Formats: sequence, C-alpha cells, structure tokens
Amino acid sequence: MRISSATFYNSSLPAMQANQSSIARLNEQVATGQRILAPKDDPLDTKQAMELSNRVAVREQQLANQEKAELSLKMEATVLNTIHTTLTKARSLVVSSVASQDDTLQAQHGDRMAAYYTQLKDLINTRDSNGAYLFAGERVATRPFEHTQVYPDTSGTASVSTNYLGTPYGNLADPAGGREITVSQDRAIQVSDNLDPVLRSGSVGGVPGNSDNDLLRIMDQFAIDIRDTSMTATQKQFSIKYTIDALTNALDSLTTIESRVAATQAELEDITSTTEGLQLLEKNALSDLTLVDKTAAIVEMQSRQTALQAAQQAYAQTSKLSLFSYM
Amino acid sequence: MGLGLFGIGVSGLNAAQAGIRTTEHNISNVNTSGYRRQEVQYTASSSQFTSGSLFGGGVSVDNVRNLYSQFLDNEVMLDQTRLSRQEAYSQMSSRVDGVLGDSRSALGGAINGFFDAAEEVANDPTSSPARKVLLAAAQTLADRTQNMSSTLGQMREDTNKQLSAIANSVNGYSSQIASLNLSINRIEASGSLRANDLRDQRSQLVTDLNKLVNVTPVEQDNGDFSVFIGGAQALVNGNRSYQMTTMPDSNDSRLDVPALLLGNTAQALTPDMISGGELSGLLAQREEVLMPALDGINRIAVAIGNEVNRVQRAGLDSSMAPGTDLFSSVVQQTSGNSWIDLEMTSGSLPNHNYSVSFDGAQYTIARTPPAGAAIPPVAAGNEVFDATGSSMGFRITAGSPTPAAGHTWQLNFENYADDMTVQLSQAGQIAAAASDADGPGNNVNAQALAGLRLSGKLDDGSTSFSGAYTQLVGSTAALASEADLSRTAYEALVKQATEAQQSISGVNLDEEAVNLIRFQQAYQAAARAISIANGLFDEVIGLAR
Repeated sequence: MRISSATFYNSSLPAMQANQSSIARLNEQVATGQRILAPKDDPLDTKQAMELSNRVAVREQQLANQEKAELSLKMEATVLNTIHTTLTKARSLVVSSVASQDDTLQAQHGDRMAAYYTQLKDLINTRDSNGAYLFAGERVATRPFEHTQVYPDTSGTASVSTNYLGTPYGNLADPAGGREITVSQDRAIQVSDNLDPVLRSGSVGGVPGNSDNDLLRIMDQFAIDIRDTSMTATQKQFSIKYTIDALTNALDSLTTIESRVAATQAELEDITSTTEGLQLLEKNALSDLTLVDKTAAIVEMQSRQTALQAAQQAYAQTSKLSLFSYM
Repeated sequence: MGLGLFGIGVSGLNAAQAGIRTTEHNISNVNTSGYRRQEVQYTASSSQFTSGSLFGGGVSVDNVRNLYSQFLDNEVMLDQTRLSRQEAYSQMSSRVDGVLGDSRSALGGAINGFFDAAEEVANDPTSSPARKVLLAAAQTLADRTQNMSSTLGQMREDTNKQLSAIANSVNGYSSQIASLNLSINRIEASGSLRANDLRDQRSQLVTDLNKLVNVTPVEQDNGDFSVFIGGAQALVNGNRSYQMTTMPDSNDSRLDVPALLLGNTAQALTPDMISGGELSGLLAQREEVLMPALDGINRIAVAIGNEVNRVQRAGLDSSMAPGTDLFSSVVQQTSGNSWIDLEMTSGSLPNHNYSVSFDGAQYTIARTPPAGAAIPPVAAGNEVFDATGSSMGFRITAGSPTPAAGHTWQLNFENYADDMTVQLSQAGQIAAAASDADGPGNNVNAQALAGLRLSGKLDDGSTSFSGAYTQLVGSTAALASEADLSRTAYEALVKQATEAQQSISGVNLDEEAVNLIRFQQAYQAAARAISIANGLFDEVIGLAR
C-alpha cells in the first residue's frame, strides 16, 4: 500500500506519547499514593469511596461523642461513689451513737455529722471542667442545692429545708432527668442524673406522720439533736432512728442511680468497640478502593519505559530511511 | 520533417521539465497541511501522416492534477468534526470533574466538619469553644460552597467567551473561503486551467472550519464552494460570507448561544443545528455537565440553608432567646409572623427567587421579578409544578407558627450558593436548646441540628446532603469519563481516516526521488535525441558540400 512520508516518519509518535502520558500518570499515582487522581478515572469507585469516607467521618465523630460520654459518666460515677462513701460513714456514725452517751462524745458526733453534711453539700453541687453543675438538670449555671446550716447552734432551733434550684425532677425528656449524648446513629445515652430522689424524695418508712425526708435538713438536725441537752433520751433515740432510716433510703436511691451509670458505662464500652470495629473495616475498604498498589505500579512503569524506549528506537531507525541518502 | 524531429525532442524536454518541476513542488510541500500531491498528465501528440505511415508527434503536457479521493476527504472531515466536539466536551467536563472532586475544595469535608461541630455543641451545649468551632465550621461550609459555585460560574463565563472567540474564528474562515472562491473563479474562468493549490487551501480552510463547527460544503457548477451550517443556513455563498455572533439565551440570560447575523438581526442557532465541532462540544458540555453541576451545588446549598435555619429557628440560644437564621435566609418572612417549611423533591431546583402567599387553603408561588407563565397554586404538602407541568423540585409545608391567610414569604433560591453567608456573629446565638428548655444545659436542638447530617433531606427524604453531593460528583465523573473514552475512540478513527486519505493525497519522498530520476533520465534521453537529430542534419549538409 502507498504510504505518505508524514505517516511513515510519524508512526512512532502516538506510541511515544501514549507511553509518556502513562508514565506521567503512574508517577503521580506513586507520588500521591492515590489510585484515583480525579473522579472521572473511576466514577463508580469514586462514589463508593466518597460514601465510605463519609461513613468513616461519621464514625470518627461518634467515637468522639462516645469518649465525651465516657468522660461524663466516669466523672459522675466518681462523684456518686464519693457520695456513697460519705453517706455510709454518716450512717455508721449515727448507728454508733447512743442517746445516753456523754457530752464530749455527743459533741464529737455532732461535729463529725456536720463534716459529712458539708462534704455532701459540696459533692451534690459539683461542677465539671466547664464550670457546669453536674446535678442541676438543664440549669447548669445555677448552684442547684441551697441549704443554710443551723449547727453548731444547738439551742433547739429546727433546721431549715433544702432549696432545690435545678431542673425539677420529672421535667426533663428523660424522667430520671439528665442530658443525653448521641453515641451512634440511633442510640443516645443519658450522661447525667437528677439527685432529687436521693436528697428529697426518698420516703422514710416507719415514721408515721412525718413526711419530711430532706436529707441535708435531717443530717443538720441530727447534729443539733445529738448535742441538744434539753432533749430526752427517748427523743434522741427517735432522732437517731429517724436519721438512720433516712440515710438508708438515700443510699438505696443512690445505688439505683449508680447501677444505672455502671450499666450505661458497660453499654458504652460495647458500643465503642463495635464502632471501632466497623470503622476499621470501612477504613480498610476505603484504602483498598483508593490507594495505589505501589509494586504493581512500579512494575507497570518499567514495562512502559521499555515500550517508550522501543518506540524511540523505532523512530530513530525509521527516520534514517530515505532514498535521498543514496543519491 | 526535419523540424518534426527537433519538435518531438523539444516536447520530450519540456515534458521532463514539467515532471521535475511538479516533483520539486511536491517535495517542497511535503509538510504543508491540506496539500495534495500533484502529477503531470501527459498526452501523446496527435500523429502526422507522412510517407504513407502515421508518425507520433511527441508529447504534450495536458494538465497538472492533484490526487485525492472525495470519499476519504469527507470521511476525515466527518470524523474530525466529531473528534473536535469530544475534545471540547472532555476538556471542559474534566475541569468540572476536577473542581467537584478536588479534596481541597470539595464540599463533602466541609459538610462533615459542620455536623461534627454541631455534635460537639450537643455534647457540651454550654461550652463556648464548642460553639465557636461550630460558627467557624459554618463559615468554612459557606466559603467552600461560595468558592465552588463561583469557580463553576467562572467556567460558565469562560464558555461564553469561548463561544464568542469561536464565532470570530468562524468569521475569519468563512471570509477567507469566500475570497478564495472569487480567486479560483477568476483563474478557472479562463478555460481549462485548474487552480490546484488554491483549491487545496480552500479545502484546508473548510477542514479547519469544520473543527469549530460542522459545516456542509457544496461545490457549485462554477467551482464555488457554498458552505452551510445546520444543513440549511448559508455561511458562505459564492464570494459572500455571513457573520456568526453570540447572543443571550432566551431561556437563561446567563448563557450565550451562537447566532447568525442575517441583515441586522441575529438569529440564534439551535443546538440541533450544531452537531459537531468544538462549538457543539462546548454547548453540549454546558448543558449536560456544567449547568447541572452548578444548579446541583445551588440545590444542595439551598437544602442545607433551609434545614439548618429551620432547626435553628425552632430552638433557644444560650440566653434562652429564640434562635434566628444561621445561614443566609432561604425562606424569608415578608408579611405575617408564621413560617413555611420547604421539602426538596428529586426535581432540579430552578435558579430563581419566588414570592409565596397563602390564602388559607393554597400557596400561590410567583417568580420575582415577575417572569414566565403563572405557576399553578398548590396546597400544603404537594409538589410545586410550573406552568408546563415540570417539577420545580420542592414542596411547601406549614411551619411553626402555622401560616394564616394573607401571610407572605420570599424564597431566595437565585445564586444562593454564590451568596451563602453565616448570619450569626456570636457563638451564644446558636440555638442548642429546645424551645421548652429549662436551662442552657439543654442540648436537644443541637442534637436535632447534628441529626440533619444523616437524615435524608433531599429527593423526598431519601438522600442526605453529602449523599446528594456524592451523586453529583458521581454523575459528573461518569460523563467526563465517557467523554474521555469516546475522544480516544474518535482519535483512532481520525488517525485511520487521515492515514487512508494521506495514502492517496500525501507526498512520499522516496516516490518523488524515483520520479526525479525518472524525469532526469527522460530529460537526458530527449536531449540525446535532439543531439542525434542534429547529427543527422550535419550528415546531410556534409553530403551537399
């Protein structure tokens, strides 16, 4: 077949160009580590990779939320545990009190109860690192429990009631009264509790006609009563029993909250390990989709280089062929 | 008879000279694009009856013709105009693909960043740093949206400029073709002469013009080329050419369309009249890739702005005051204190602003400023359709407080992505608390805001914001990759067709070398014949002495 000189001499050019652009592309793939340099390189895989990286990002945030929830629960659990210890010690003190003990011992018991009272009041008004009150419901900026201590005035003046300034029990989305953090697509967990049941709502059984079960008031009153010299032994005995019952009920309510927190912590741990597992799977799938196989890329680069050299050789040889060279 | 001997020899010399000249011409033009190799056509001169026999009278140069196949030339033109279309299409769609897919500017990361920050506010509604991060993330999202929209908008402007540049080039080619028509006519009118080189030039111009826009050349009886565009509109007629220009599209003033100037009026060329060449690639790309991307980004931005603002308005900020729009308003109250909500369907959202008024039963929607046919009123919850019955991409539902008769609103869809800004200046203005919150520790509204990330707010509730973006990137990538594939296919077709065409019309230097030797030998032989004839005369004269 007849062939024009331009076609003859230029026939190696497309091969050279194709190989050069392949080498440039492989170069970029190896340098960036990415198999897909623009979405059009692989529209389907790009779409899948975008969906996967969205999911990875969502899980990343879920893990951050879980960590935050875990921190909140850990802090609450620690505070609750300390409250538990304080109340237990207060109850032991009351149990060890005897109506007829001598004045020095009664004064000691009064002071010790006042110390537990102060400890408890500090604990229930704990603030987190942002300065938000832990047990104020949504009114995080308001000191929730206000109570004016009457002790050491033991002249018989009755203690006053606690003033609760936080979100009232039952007024929150969660009846137990606490904030929720979203830890997975369809699970939000409660990370704070309302201490009202512990401090005010615990019913004191076996005490007919007395509906006053205000823990701070009762503890303050016990300290007053035990040192009150005007009270009879029977009256003091009644006060001791009354305080023991109130502390026992408070500890029962507290245990309920503590076990909720512990159960939530266990659930959270489980959710976190699931999320981490899923995220790992998705990250691996994403890498498989988007990362270049460097070994394969370098092998291909070498074969392209060989092909380019061959095309260049062919051009060099072809361009020498001209009849005019022999004339 | 004696004169006859010399005459035959001289005709041989002339013929060989003509051959050498043509060969030299071919060699010189080996790299001239559009040049078709030429060859001399010889005819044996008419015989003379002498001494009872017929003797030949030598050779005469009949004509110089160029070698080509009209069929192969047409094949090259056709494949080339398709290739040019694909080249323009693939180049522009690769740019759109690059803009949408670039991880440094992509929307996906900014959308996730915004909702991550919203979750942090939900985790800690009273944390001022978390709120500031959310405002900053909102700013990033608005910036990215603006940036992407304006980059694509710039490409729309570039396309307009490119169309105008193509129109100028087309005008250059058509006026050159018209003037070549005139020159060729003058040369060829004199008789049997054929203006080979001018014809080659003219064919090359038509080929080049065809790369810009597919044209149909028709050779008239007088040798003129008439060039038609879109089958019927004459671009060149004899020595007259018509001007191409651009004018704004009657449906969308942001877009220019090519037009022909007929007298003083510009007549728009419809897309179906332009099926090949760079011009058609640009127009098709704009319609299928660029504008859907631009409108798609706008639609996602409107959906995000609408939902985020709706949630924000439903809550209380850190000072327990009702929230206000976080992003530029999508729905704006113009009369009354009630709200309407928008739900995105799967239709594409028009890039216009609308006014909405409620009469107690139905919503009346009208373009602002007024334009186009009236949109039929709809009841709450029904998809809005325009006068021609095509979906406008959204439905209206009653918001809170519930709309009453006489209330009106404005819908700001037009270039929303371009103008998207953050309206809040204080971190405290973020409405993290629910409207029934008891204190700043309430995070219910922030959770609702964070929850927007995974809930479907487009395509009738089936597609999330990032899902819509992924779809947009995916469909653009599919078009761009398809365009690359068919460009490669047409490159191969053009290469084959050009090689076939060149096998007939192209110069082969070895062949020309052989021709040179051939004509040199013919010249030497003819010269020798003259010298022998001369010797014969000498003999005769010698006898007479």
